[in-house]
Amino acid sequence: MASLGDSHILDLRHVSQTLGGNRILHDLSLGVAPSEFTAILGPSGCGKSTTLRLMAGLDRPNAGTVHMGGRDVTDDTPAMRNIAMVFQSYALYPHLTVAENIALPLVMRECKPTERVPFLGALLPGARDKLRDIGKRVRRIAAMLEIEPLLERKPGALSGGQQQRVAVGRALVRDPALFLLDEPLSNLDAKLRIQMRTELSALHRRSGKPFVYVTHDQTEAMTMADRVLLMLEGRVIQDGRPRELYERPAAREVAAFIGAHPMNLIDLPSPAGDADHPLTRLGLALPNHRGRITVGLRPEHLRCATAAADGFLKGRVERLEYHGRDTMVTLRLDGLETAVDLLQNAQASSLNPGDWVGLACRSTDVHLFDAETGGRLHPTPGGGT
Amino acid sequence: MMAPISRAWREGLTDLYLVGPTVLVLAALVFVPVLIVFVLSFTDYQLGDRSVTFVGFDQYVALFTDPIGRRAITNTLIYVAVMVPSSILLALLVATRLHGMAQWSPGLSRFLRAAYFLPVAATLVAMALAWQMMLHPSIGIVNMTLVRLGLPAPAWFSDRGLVIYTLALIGIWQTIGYNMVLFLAGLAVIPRHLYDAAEVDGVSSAWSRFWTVTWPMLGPTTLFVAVITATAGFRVFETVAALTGGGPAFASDTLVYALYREGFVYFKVGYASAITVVFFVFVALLTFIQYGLLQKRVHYR
Amino acid sequence: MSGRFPRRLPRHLTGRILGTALLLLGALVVLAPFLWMLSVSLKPADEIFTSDVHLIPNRIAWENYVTAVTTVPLGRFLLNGVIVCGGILVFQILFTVPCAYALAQRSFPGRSLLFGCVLAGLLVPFHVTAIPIFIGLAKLRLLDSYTALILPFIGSVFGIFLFRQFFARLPTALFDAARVDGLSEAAIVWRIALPLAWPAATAFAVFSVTAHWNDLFWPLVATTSPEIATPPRGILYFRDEEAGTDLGPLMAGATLVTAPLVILFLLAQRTFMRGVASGGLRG
Repeated sequence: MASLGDSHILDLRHVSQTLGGNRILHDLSLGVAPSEFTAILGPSGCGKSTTLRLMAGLDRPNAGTVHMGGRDVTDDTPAMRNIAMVFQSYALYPHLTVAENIALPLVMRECKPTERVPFLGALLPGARDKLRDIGKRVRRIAAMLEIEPLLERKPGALSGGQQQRVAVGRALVRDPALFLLDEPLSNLDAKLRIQMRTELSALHRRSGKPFVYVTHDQTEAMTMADRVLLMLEGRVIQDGRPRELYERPAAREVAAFIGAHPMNLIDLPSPAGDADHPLTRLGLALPNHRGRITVGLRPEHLRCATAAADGFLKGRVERLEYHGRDTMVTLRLDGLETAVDLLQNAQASSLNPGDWVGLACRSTDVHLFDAETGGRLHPTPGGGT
Repeated sequence: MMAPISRAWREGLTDLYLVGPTVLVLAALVFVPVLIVFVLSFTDYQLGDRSVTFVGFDQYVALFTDPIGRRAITNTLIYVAVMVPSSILLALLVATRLHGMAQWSPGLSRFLRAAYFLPVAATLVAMALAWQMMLHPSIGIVNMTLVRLGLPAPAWFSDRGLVIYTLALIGIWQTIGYNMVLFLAGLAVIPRHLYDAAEVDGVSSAWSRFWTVTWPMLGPTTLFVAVITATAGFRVFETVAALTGGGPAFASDTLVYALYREGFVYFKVGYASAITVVFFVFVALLTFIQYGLLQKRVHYR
Repeated sequence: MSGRFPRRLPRHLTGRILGTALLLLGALVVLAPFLWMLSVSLKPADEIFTSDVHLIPNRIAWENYVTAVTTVPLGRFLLNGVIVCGGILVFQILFTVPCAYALAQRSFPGRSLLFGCVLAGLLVPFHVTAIPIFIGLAKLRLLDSYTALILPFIGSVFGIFLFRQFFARLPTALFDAARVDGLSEAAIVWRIALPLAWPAATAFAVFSVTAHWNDLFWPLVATTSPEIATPPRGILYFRDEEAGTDLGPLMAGATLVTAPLVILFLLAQRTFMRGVASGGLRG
């Protein structure tokens, strides 16, 4: 653990946080690797923003420690940690110009208290050179973000996208050890959000610095991040590459959360000794499991079997939803209280409500979970017991 | 590296230097003095005394039995009773008129608003002298005009029966502009569509419009204005001190002026403290009445 | 409908004309003391003491103003007013802004208790605390000094309340951003919070300066030397010295004392009205 932690830029070790009597985080441990883009993904109230605030040092954990570069920084203020943060509301200082907003962290870090006195400070020897240097760096960042023409404006006169860039500029300018981004795109309109996604990824590659990106939007996490931490109710449920979260969700909750279309989750009895069990028909077995199971099937992985009787499950078409390229077909499963969605090529589809359809799927696209614990189960190929 | 102080300690020290000085200042200048004045009101302390004797409620008994003390209380009540309703009524009239006028003549409306507000910005003591000039028994413009019209010329400041009303008149003059601004703020937030709705419902005359929409919507503002004006009324001091000194024969003595005279001219600290407490009780009662009424309004909804 | 319209318009107009006339008349009454004060201040003595009523002097007597500034140190009174009001305001800002910021944007033990005390403090008029403060200053031998005029007002409960309400409406992220940017809490107070609170600060400044410029009670209580008299106290020295006979110069003095705030008001009416009206929140 310690040797692993040393290679991390930042480590949270067994942190717990309670706010107003509610336990937000419980014994959470995680590390941020150098130059990695880490997304913390989860629904609102899952503790992801609290985690980010602990990393920033804005709050101190009730228990556990925070380490940066092998040093315990639990008691350090944000200013002492050399981190930069972009806020959801951008949090630009309304009374300062764009240039002053971007320059402020540099001024606070590099100028002596006497040199920071408004107007008079600039007259001190040395201060002028320092301020000129800061000005140069501000302009360089502004050029990079293409906000040079806005430097003399106040934030109130900028559009949301422009404010966003200024906020990023303020974070970039002082070369921090770690970037923290708290839902930075959620206040932008859809089109701008897609554009900024590309830009942030590029920015991350160019800076070579670790980013920790908090979001509730799985598309942002999946498209930008090298690594996604999925958080639910104050715990990290899964920690892995976006592909792993999609292809091998560690728990039912992850499976339900990740994916453009919600995964179908079907509650079934144990397949043990049941030759007619859908799993057995798929050629899968669970020799070491006795209890009920949940079968997870993504709509995009399901196909209609050539004949209704060929499927591992069958159902009657309840509803068809036209999505352009695809059609979402909702089936009512035969003998079960569950409905199942599947995505079909709209052209190929000739289904009508009321039709009987058999479901087919590759056995590698089937996800199995313990119905009690929600944990992932690993089937072995081959039917029977 | 500095000796490591824990974050909690550092945050605590920060809170202390942000809040601590003010807490000390407020304690020393507001809360402790209030306690002391309560304690002093039960003593016969005079400034310069070496010892203090507790006399129970003697000072209060003295205040309420002494004709001069009672005079100060009744005068203050008369002043408030005359000044508050008149000021509010006139301010409400002016404000509703100016609010309407802002629609068709914003310039004139602005000018009149500034004119009515001017007394609030002016130094009251200096303006009191101007009033003394205007109401001068022989060479004041008011009496000269009255005489010319064949009317009696009252002695505004030396007639015992009149003087407190004269002061109330100056009080009205001074507070109209202030109350007008508060009413204008209240009027500005009444949504237009309420008037439209009233118009649709057949409320067409300005008079009924006022009673169906404006007045109910101004209720909280009016209550607020009433309490503020009454509090200001209880505090009346400047005009008394500058113009009458409480005279003639205590006919214009008021609570705060009596507190000033007994405490700081005669140094009868115990007695002056009792006056202070009575004054404070009046002012505090007003605020509690305001809270009570507001509470009731909320329940009615 | 069309028959009703023309009949309604004139009645509407008559009401308007009547109302406006009444308003103008009222304004004239309200302005009368100002006009009369100005008029008398510019009249020679013989014109004041006549039974002939006229507003515009036949001869403009500028000498009244000369007399006013030479018989008593009127300039000194005005300067004292500036010193006392300025001193009070500076200390009030220094004490109230950090406290209001902490109350609004930090959490510390006793925060709600302190805010409760602030609300309770709003109930207390200064007169209630005057006697103990007077005794305290007397014991410290500080009476009859600028200190005596400034010290009692350096902590303003109302100021804390006003600034706290303002800071509480600002987004917390703004202050978090400042912390990340390396600002200490003190730097946040003076570099971020106070500049953002500019509207509240101007309102408070107007309230504080008018209250203390116009106050007579405390200068009357705490000072005896004319050298440190504030304008209202000073104008009474003038009146008492002249025994009320030299009315022209007295009115000239009154005009000079009133002028600074009136001019300030006329220059910044909106700010001024908002500031003074904000004082209404004080019980």
